[in-house]
Amino acid sequence: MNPNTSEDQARHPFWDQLVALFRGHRDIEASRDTITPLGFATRVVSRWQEMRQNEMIRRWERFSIRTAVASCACAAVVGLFVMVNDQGMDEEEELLLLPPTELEAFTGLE
Amino acid sequence: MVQSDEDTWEMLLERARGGNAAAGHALVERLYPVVIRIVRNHLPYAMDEEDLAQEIFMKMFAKLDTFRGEQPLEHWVSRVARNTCFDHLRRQKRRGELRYADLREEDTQVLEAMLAGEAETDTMIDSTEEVRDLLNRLLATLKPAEENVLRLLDLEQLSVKEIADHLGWGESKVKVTAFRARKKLQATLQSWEPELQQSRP
Repeated sequence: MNPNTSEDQARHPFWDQLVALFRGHRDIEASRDTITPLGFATRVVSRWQEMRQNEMIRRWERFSIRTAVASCACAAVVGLFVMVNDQGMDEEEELLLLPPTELEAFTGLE
Repeated sequence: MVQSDEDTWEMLLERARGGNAAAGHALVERLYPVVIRIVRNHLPYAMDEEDLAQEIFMKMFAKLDTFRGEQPLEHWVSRVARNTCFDHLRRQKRRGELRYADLREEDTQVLEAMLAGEAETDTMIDSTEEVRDLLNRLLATLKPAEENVLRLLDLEQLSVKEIADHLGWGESKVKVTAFRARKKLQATLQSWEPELQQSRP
């Protein structure tokens, strides 16, 4: 199939007429109102400004949530560290509380 | 701050990127004719052209930081506008075929006026809406890619090269797609002819 040579065969006169009619109406409309309708630009700009503000708020929210998650993670790590350290301390304290004879037996000292 | 006519696109863009409302206003004013022309060529059924134009401008502002200035701003905005229109058109209900019996009274009036050769006089067709609706209904019988090509080619009157650039296709693919689309439309319109002839007074 060669679309260049057979293109005319695929055209229907109704389609061409319909397209021509549409273009005619459209061009009349276009020549009538080439300037922006009253208030259109103001409406678009105010929505844009609102969108910018919302975007900044969203960014701040995202930052806050991430900061909160990071803080929780840090707190959990510190908490775990303290807990593990506390357990070690308890064991050391138990050792210190043993009577001297038991302590010697425990450590293998005569 | 009032924008003067001498403000270049670059100056306006720079200010708009910084959130300057007056620069945004000036951009909308300058780009409106470009956007509304595209909107009128590809306006989906039952959609207000100003609403669609507004959506396009909102997308333009949202993507303003991604504009690198490799092409004129009007071309970039035209692309945004066409893609937005095509997104809406794609969401519209598609139908495999459009029979004569499916046509509304307004559609048959347009066709009868064309058959009678009265279309040019505008005696029977007095609004773009009727013509646009019939065009939309006919184009909705095609595949989305075929519809897009035919819209760009016949309604927007872009060249094959411009369409190929816009869609990122080869020129031959554009031509073949347009040919297939026209063939389908031809078949649909031919199937209406007997009933149209009968309905003539």
